[in-house]
Amino acid sequence: MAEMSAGIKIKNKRKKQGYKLRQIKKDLWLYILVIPGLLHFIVFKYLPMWGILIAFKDYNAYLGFFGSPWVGFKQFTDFFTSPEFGRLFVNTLTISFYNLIFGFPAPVIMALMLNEIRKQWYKRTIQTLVYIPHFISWVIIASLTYTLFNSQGVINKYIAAMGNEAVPFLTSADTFRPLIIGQTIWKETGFGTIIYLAALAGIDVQLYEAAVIDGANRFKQFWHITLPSIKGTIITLLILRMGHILDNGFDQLFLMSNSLNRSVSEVFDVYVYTMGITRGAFSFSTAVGLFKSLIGIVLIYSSNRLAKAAGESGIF
Amino acid sequence: MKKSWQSKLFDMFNTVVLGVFASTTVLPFLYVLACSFAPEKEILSKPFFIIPSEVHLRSYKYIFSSPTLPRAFLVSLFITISGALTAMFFTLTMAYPLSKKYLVGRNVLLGLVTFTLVFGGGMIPGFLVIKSLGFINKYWALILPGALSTWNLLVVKNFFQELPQEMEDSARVDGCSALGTFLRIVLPLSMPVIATFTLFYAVGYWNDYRSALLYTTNNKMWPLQLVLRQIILMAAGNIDGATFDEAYTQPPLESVKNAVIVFGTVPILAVYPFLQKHFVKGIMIGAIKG
Amino acid sequence: MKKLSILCIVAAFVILLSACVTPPTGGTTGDSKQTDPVQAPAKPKEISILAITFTGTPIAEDEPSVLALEELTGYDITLEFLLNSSYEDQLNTRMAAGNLPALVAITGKTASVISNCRAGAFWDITDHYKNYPNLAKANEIVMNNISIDGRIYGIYRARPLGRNGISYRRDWLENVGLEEPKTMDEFYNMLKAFTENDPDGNNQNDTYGMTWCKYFGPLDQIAVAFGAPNKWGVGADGKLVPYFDTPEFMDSMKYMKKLYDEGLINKDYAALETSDWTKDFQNSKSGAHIDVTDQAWRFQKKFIDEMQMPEDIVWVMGMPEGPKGKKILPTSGHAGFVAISKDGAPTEQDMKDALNFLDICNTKEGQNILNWGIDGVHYDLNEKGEATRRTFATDPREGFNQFMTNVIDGLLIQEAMQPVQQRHVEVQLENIPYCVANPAEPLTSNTYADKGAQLDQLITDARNKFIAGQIDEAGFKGEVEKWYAQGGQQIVEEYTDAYNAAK
Repeated sequence: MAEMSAGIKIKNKRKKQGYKLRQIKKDLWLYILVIPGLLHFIVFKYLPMWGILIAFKDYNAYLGFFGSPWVGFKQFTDFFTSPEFGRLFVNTLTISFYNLIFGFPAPVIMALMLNEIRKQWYKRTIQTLVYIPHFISWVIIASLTYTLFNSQGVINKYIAAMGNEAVPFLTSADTFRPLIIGQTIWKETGFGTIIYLAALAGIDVQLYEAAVIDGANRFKQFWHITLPSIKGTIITLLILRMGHILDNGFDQLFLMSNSLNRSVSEVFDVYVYTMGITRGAFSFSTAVGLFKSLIGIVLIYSSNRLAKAAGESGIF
Repeated sequence: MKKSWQSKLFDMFNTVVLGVFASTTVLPFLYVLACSFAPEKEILSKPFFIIPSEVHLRSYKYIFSSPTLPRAFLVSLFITISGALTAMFFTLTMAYPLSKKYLVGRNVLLGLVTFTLVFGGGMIPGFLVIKSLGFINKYWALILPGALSTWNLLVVKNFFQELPQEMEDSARVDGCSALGTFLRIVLPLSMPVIATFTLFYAVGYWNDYRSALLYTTNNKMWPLQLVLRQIILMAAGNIDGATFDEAYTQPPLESVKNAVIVFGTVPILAVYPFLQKHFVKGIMIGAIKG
Repeated sequence: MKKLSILCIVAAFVILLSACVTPPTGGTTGDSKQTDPVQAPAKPKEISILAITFTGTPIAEDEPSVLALEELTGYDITLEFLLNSSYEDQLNTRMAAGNLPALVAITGKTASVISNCRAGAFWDITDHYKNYPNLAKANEIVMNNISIDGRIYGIYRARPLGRNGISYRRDWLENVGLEEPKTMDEFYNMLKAFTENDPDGNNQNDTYGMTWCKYFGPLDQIAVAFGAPNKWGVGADGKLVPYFDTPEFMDSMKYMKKLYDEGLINKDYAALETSDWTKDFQNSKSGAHIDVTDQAWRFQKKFIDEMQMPEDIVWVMGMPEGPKGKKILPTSGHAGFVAISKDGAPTEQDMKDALNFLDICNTKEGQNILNWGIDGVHYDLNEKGEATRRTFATDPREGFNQFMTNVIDGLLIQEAMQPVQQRHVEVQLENIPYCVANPAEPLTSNTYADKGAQLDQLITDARNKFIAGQIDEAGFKGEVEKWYAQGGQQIVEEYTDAYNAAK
């Protein structure tokens, strides 16, 4: 808060005096610092941007960009009018929604839990262990999931031993979403924790010392110091995540989907891949990507605005 | 300091829950590790085990029998280190000015940056840019395109924004240039952030196989993940028999597949504990000030 | 202060840059691979080839096999390899960049291959290849199968037609007192006995008949055995009929549903990854495996080498006879083709040079160098003149056979084989008279190219749902109607027109 008001104060004062040029001169170093990054953005992000136009063409690699026929919105209409579109949209959003509700808070909670551990060796060990699954490929995880959850697997043997009927976890539409969300939480929570731990490490320990002197208990310290200190990070990550709301992990969903759960497991990313096998993969997938980006940018801007309205700094 | 019983109960609960979760996350990896040493028979017949009945080193011997994997390992190591350093240079230098709200033109810059968070040109134009830069079959192509992630940039920028402004202001008043403030005040205060994003970039470079797939045709430049992926996919079975003499091209053994996974993940896993000390130290702003 | 800072940044940048350009190993030798268009006249002809590597350690250009082939053909050979895991993506990207060598191994007639051929990325060799003595002997049917719109864009990479079959546990069959099944009913009995009669004799109910996975190959083989067409049949009215819209297909599904319901196949097959398909057979949990015949030898070898099990416990047979007589699902007889790109061979003379090279590769010597390598280096001959490969820690010739076309049979040196391998070769030959041809194989349908994958999946899903009992016969018919409505009708018409036009 303090830095914000300071920033605004400075800004207002300078605007009033109208010393823009002098200010630019004063901040010359900041502009010089921007240059390498800016060049990177121009060369590697903006120069290839014309590729978006591929979405409006029927791109053929040999004919090249200019030789490929222009088809206008054909790729989009094909996508929107396909009989699968409604189902895909619902499936994609549902999985994203569950991931947002359950997957997003998980690393925050784990980071806060880790933060409360006082034994350093234990904390470090746990931190390192939970971070491992991020590096195990989905192929391996899908295979392990099959071993655990198939009709003869450990879980079902346990269920049978309890006298219940076997649950077809892998081949039923009802169990698909819990399974997917569970996998994601298991795999990515530890890795996601890192960034919050960094934020927690940035808290000035003097604040806690002062709180202890004031007689604040652990919960009060957590509520009045810890949480507010990482709120900015949480909001930043939440807004950034909104931009990719329609991306579900392709590898995971592709591996976990099958004939018997396809009614809930087919999402945009998997659909584009299947379609890409036989049709102009580049044009079609660019078109779908563009659609996802448009939704993403709208969500980013609106959530950013919301955050600002709520008095947070937002991402820009 | 005395602890209330609620506090003690919470500590116990906290310790146990984290411990249980952590053990579920480590078990699959231990299984993979055990498989890499186990005889093939055991891998096929047991659904899960952590201690192999016999320890064989033949998978690892196989890995080192050809120059491919050790060489790919060196390539990955080189790309990861130089990539992470380059990326941190780009990210920190750009994030700092963008964190200054008074900077003229900041909003334009941030708009440009945010746009690329969701919009990108895609594979073919990216390839043509790399090609016109003359980067095909150069390590540049594996390092530069990924050297500035929009996502990372925005998060680092926000971290900078949350640093106490007063110290910077007083440094500026004392006659320190913006660059001096950045190098002498801001960076030392940002060690957790620097450690985090060095790790993120390192992980990104280590796991990246797509750049090599697209931008190199020289198999001496293939990083570990590309070769590893191929071995795992080959073990996944070849449905329509793309090879002619089938009996001759056996899919790799399960133990080899697992050894390759161990070989591909352990080095990057080892980075984290090394960087961890920067996460646990709470910063002492007063100490730096004084 | 300021100057120092500038210096620091500049220095940091320079260090970074120099770190980037110094390669740790080998270096950027890929550059030198690019062929120089201007050649000294004395040099031999050059041929550049793009092929597939499976291990990431492809054959080196100074390997004895390459040198022998260079000597035989008189061409200076340049080899490039891409990993097979994303071969087509890479091919497309390189094509977009105009970066292809003269000869390119193409793995199949995918949509992008079709559109690239139509766009003129590869030479149309229909009127040329017959001028070469060996290529002229190529099998017309297979050549027709690789054609696109009736034109031929390459020389096919030959594969045995009758390659499909069943591997099974011969010792189990003896234990349950049965003979090798001749009919589909006997095959059912075998699976039933493998599940219920304790074929491994351990007094535990821990075995079952056959393992399936996500890959639908076994289901297709059973469908054809029951008399369903191979992808497309010709109806009484001269129209093409999709295989799943026939009563025979429904019969095959009912048979498979019975197998499923009685637990003779794994219940979760629809979720089992192909990578784990062979595990239960290899682990003596299941006793039959419908795939390619050469899988039998892979199983047997692993039983001996890794599981410490006796020889000859795995045996192989063709699909048993169904109610409509013996019918076998063939492979297409090719694994794609070797095409000549206009990037790498811009002039007609270049194209002819490339064809000449492929022609020499199909001589007896050429085929054997590509397939076997050099006598005494890569293989040894026994007294009967049969070859045995030498074993290497890593195959020094990896990827070299990927541009081998072998359009003429019978030129290769015979391999010294184990009994099960001999049997698998026999089965492949026995299969041939019973193979059911796919009339649409050489035809192209634009609607199929556009929507095929999605429509194919609709049917695969419906079939699995039927077998698992999620839908009944009427439900399946409904899915077939959906198939027609979502573009299937158009595909039928396009194929029928193309079929009648080609007749």
